[in-house]
Amino acid sequence: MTDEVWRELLQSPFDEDSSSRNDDGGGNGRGIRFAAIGLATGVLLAGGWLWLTDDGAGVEAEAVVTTTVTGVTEPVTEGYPVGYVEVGDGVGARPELMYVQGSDLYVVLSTMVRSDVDPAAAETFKGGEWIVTGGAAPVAATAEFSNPRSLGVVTVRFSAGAVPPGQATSLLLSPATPRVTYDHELEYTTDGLPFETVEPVRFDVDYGDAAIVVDRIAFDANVGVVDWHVVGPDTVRARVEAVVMLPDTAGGEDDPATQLVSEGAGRPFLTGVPHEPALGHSRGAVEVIRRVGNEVEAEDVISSVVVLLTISVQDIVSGEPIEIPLDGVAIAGR
Amino acid sequence: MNRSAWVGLVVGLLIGVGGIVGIEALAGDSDSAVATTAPEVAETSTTLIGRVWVEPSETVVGPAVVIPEGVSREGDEVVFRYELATVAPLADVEPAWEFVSPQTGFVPADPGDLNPIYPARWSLVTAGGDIAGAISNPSARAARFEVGEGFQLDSIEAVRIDEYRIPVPVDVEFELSEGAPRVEVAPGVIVSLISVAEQGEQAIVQVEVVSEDGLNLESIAIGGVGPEWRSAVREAEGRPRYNLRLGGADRSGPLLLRARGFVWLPAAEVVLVTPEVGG
Repeated sequence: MTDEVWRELLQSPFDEDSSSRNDDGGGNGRGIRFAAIGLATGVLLAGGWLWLTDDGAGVEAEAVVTTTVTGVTEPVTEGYPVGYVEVGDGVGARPELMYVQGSDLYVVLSTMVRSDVDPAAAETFKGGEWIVTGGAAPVAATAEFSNPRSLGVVTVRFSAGAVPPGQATSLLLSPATPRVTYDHELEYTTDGLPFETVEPVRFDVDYGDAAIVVDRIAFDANVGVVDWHVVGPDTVRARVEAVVMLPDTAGGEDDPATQLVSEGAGRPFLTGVPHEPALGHSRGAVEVIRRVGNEVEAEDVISSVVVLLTISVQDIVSGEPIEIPLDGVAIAGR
Repeated sequence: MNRSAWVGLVVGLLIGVGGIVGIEALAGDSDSAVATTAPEVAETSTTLIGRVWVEPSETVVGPAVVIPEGVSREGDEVVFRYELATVAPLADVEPAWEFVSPQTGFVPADPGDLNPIYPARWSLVTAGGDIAGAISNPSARAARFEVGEGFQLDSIEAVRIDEYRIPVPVDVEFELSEGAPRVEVAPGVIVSLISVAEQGEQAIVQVEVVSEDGLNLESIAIGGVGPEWRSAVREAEGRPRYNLRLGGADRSGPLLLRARGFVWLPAAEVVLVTPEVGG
């Protein structure tokens, strides 16, 4: 849901619009307004009241009054609040809560920068290989995901029977290397739709002998798939996004979603993103789906196809595992 | 002018001078909208390494800081105003696309405009006991406490966040069928199968999202998993229902769906004390 909708649905009529920490000083302006009101109120009440009365009794102001505010912060050591463990260059992680859904265990962590690091200059946490301990045997995570609207928050999933949340003692993280992204454009001629490639395409990446092989690209006027796999070291993971362009079609006229992609020939006709946005896989099948408003008309002659691929690659294991204790972490839903 | 009048003028001038000094202090503070005098806290903060992004007046809450802006009396309420700022790494964060209008389309949301945490429940800690605040909402930047007529601001000892929530990423594949029409996809968030209507070579599947606490209804999107799912459209008005178009020759098995987005979940059960209010 957008913030606008939240505000419309839930905001108290007394609430003011928010402003960010790095805005143009709206907060100061508000403070000055309050101080000015307080000043005026104080002058008027104190001066006026005493001027008009003989006994000079004290005044209890019922109008807006500001007071001095002093902050009390959490105890902080080594540049992070309690519970954060450094997992990257100037970035720490702390488990915030756990919950069980179905038969899976989910551990939610927040990440934040060290106190001497500028958030705007710090790279986001790139994931890695997660292991939970406390059960009969250590168990590796099956997925890790994030969301652009959940700044700094990461969810890690462990499969059925990994360990009950009350018995989980710690996470072991082997941080991944930074993700490297490659953009590729493939152009084909075709006799129309449906379309299917006849040979795989190999893309070399800078991880030893690793490469990403796109095995098959197939689609009709509505939906399709891009199959791929990694060759090389078994710790290399990839994430593939695909956009299919049909230069011979006009595409949708009023499709706001098409503005998500601004490059390439014509309008993006079919678009797709992988299922696991944070932690990549060693193979995958990207579903591409027709965007709302895009139609292949009967008179359209499809003679060419352009496929835009965005391939992100990382090595999921780098260095010694980092231990993140789970003692005292809240268990949601209990 | 009698003696009381002169006293009134002098008092007014003193307050006025004090107010002007306060204004200058505010104007010189780049991050906080209130004058901060925190000698004890400043001593504590010297243990930090180059305290750049968390100022002494700010409180770290999960991946964010609460920045006090002021406490005021407004009618029967005491209002604590604050700002939220993320302290999460942002250098290469993926943009959160936000739909503005059919004409403008999607635009990348400024990370500063997102709600990094949701302080849901507050208490005012006073010399006479705690006063529970009104339930807030994720976009609010003020906590409100109903107080009695004779309440004095200088009786405030602290403002406390009793519960804060964080936006937890959710990405779950699940099955629905006539025999199992409801699935909890995240704590307190349930997806229900409403109907399956056959329409020639396809079926229209309608599902509904239900949340126990009324939150988290709009932040999750439902879609189908697999190439046989052709589209997923959220109904524009009313309850969050999705109409999903299912093709394919065999539609007899369970429906494989996916819930993706985020939900606000309560964070660690610790109680964080934020600003101390002095008179």
